[in-house]
Amino acid sequence: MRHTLTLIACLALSPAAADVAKVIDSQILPGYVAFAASTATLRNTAAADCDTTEVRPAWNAAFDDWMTVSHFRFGPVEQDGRAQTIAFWPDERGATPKALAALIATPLPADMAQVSIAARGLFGLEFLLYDPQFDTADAANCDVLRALSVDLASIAAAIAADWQNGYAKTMRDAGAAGNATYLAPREAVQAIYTATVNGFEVTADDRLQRPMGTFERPRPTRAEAWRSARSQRNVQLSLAALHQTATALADTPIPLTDAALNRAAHLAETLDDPDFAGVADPQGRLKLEILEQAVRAAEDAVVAELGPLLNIDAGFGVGDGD
Amino acid sequence: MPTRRHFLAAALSAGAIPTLTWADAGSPDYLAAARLPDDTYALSGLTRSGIETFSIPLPARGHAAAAHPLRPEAVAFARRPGTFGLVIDCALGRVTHRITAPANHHFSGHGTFSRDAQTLFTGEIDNVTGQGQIGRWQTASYRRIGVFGSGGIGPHEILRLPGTDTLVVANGGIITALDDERSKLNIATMAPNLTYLDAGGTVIDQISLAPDLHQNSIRHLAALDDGTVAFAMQWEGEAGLVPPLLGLNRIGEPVVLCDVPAAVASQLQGYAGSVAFSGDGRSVAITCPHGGLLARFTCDGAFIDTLARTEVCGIGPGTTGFVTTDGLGGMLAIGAGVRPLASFGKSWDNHLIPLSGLV
Repeated sequence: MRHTLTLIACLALSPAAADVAKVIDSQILPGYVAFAASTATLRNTAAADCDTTEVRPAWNAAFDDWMTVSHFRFGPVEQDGRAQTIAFWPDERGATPKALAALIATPLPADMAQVSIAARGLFGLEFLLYDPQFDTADAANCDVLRALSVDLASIAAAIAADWQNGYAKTMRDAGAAGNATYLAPREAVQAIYTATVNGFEVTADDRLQRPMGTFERPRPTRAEAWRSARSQRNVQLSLAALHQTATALADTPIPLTDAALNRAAHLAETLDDPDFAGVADPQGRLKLEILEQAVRAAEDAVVAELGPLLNIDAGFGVGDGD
Repeated sequence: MPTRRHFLAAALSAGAIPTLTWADAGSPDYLAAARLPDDTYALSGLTRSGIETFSIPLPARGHAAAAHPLRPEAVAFARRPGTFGLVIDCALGRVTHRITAPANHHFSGHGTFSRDAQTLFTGEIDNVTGQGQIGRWQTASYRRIGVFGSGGIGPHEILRLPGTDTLVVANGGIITALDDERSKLNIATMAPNLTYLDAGGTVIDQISLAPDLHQNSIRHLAALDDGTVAFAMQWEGEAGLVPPLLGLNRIGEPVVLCDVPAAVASQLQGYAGSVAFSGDGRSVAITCPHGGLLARFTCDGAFIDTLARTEVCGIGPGTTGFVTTDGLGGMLAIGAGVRPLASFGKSWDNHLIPLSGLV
C-alpha cells in the first residue's frame, strides 16, 4: 500500500502527463506553416491587384491563421519584436495611422525593418484596406500595401522556418544537456501553460474589457480590428485556439476546461456584434460583460484543472515592483 | 558540509576563534534569495560555475542582501516594506544579529558596506512621507550609530562606488502605502533622482531626469571601477509609452539614457528588474522579467541585443559576460551565446548580488 502511495505521489510530481510534442506537432508547426502560406497568398494577391475587394479576403484569411498561434508568445515570434510587428495592438496612442501616413508620404525604404512597427503588420494593413482616410486605388497607398504585405509574408516565413529548423527541437529536447533555452522538461510545459493562461488574459482584458470602457463611457473604437468587423470573430478564434492548446497539452480529459470553454465559445458565437459597436448601448454592453466573465471562468478552469495536472505553480512574481 | 560546520562550531566553542572568510562558506561568487518548493524561503551562495555553496533558511521572503567584504557575513533584508534585516553567518549557517528599522520607518530592501567594512549602510523609508534616509550601523555588533538623508523620496537600491567611500542612492520617488497592495500614492507628482553622497551624508552630486520622464522610477544600480553608474528604471506613467529603462552616469557628467528599437521597447513592458555590468566591464545589461528578456548595451549606451529567458531577473557580472538567475530556478552564463549553468528546484528572487569587487 505504501509503495502504491509513493508511486502516485511521484506521478503527481512529474509533468509526464503534459504533452509538449503534441502541442508543437498539432498546433504550433502547422499553425505557423498556415500563417506563412496565407500571408504569401496575401502578398501575391496585393502584387496582382490593390483593389480592396481582392485583397480583403486574403488579409482576413491571414488574420484567421494568426489567431491560431497568436498566444504562443515564446520562441521565434519573440525575436526582433516579430509578434509586435505582426500585430501592433492595442495601439494606446493611435500610432498606426500616423506612422502609416508618414510612410505613404515618403519614398519606401529598401529595408522595412527601418519602418515604425506601428505602420507594419496586420493592423497597418487593416487601416489601408478598411479606413476611409486611405484609398488603395491611389498609387502611393497601393505601393505601401504591397510593401507591407511582402514584409508580413517574410516575417511569417521566417517564424515558420525558425520553428522547423531548430526551435521545435529545442522545445522537445527541454532539459537535454546544453539546451540553453529550456533547462528542464518542466520549463517547456510551463512556457506553453503560461502562454495559454496569458492568452485568456489578452482576450478578457484587451479584446473584451478595453472596448467596454466604463458604463458612462463605452469605447467601441478600442475594440480589436473593429474597422474590419473582426472583433467578435477574433474572440471566437482565440477561444478555439486556446482550447486546442489546453487539450493537447493535458493529453488527458479535462472536463472542467471543456465545459467552461464551450460555454464561452457559445456566448462568443451567438453575440451578433461583429465590431463590438454594441457596447455603446446597455443591452449590448451586458452581453459583452457576460462573455468576458465566461472567458475569465474558462481561464480559472484551466488554472484549476491543468495547473495541478501539470504540477505547475503560479509564477513567483519576480517582476512585482521591487 | 556538516563535517566542516561541526569542525568550525567545535573550534569556536573551544575558544580558538578562527577568522572566517568567504572561503569558509564555500567561496561563493554571488548571494541570491529564493523561494523553495515547500513555500519557505532561503538565502543561497552561488559560484560562477553554477554550484550552490550554501542555502540558509530565511523566516520570510527575502529581497536583496548586502555582503560583508571580508567576513562570510550577509545582511538579508526582508522584502518591502520589511522592518528587519538578518545578519547571517554564511559559514556557520546561522543568524548572528538582527537589525530593526527605526520607529515609523521600513527598510528599502538593499544595503551596502563601507570600504573598510566597519559600517553597514541601509536604505530606509519614512512610512508616511516616503522620505528616504540612510541608516549607519557599526559591524562589530550591528549597533545603530547614525543616520543621514538619502536625498529623495522612496530610496530603493544603495551602492558604494568601487574603491571609494562614495555612496550612490536610487531615490525611486514613489511614496508607497504600507497596505498589502503596496499602493503608490504620488504617481502624478513623483520625482526620482540619483544621489551621490559621501560616507558622512554630504551630497556630492544629484541627477534628475527630464520633466517628461519624472514617472520613470530609478530603482536599481550597478557600478564600474571607473565610477560609471548604471541605473535601471521602472515606468509608472502612461501605458503605451516606451521610455528608456537604463541610464548611465558618472559624477559631474551628463546622463546617458539608453534607447532600444521600438519593437524591443514594447517587449520590455516598461519594467527593468535588475542591472549589472559584464565581467569584462565592456557591456551593461538590464533584466526585464515581465518581458522575459535581458537587454544588452555597450558602456556608451548603445543597444546591442536582447536574449529571451522566462522570468529572468537576477543578474551579475560573469567571468567576462553576465550570469543570470530566474524564477524558473535557472542559472545561465551569458556571453557570445547563452550557456546553462544549472537548474535548481527553487525560484530565484529578484537579485543576484556579486561578492567580487566589494573593497
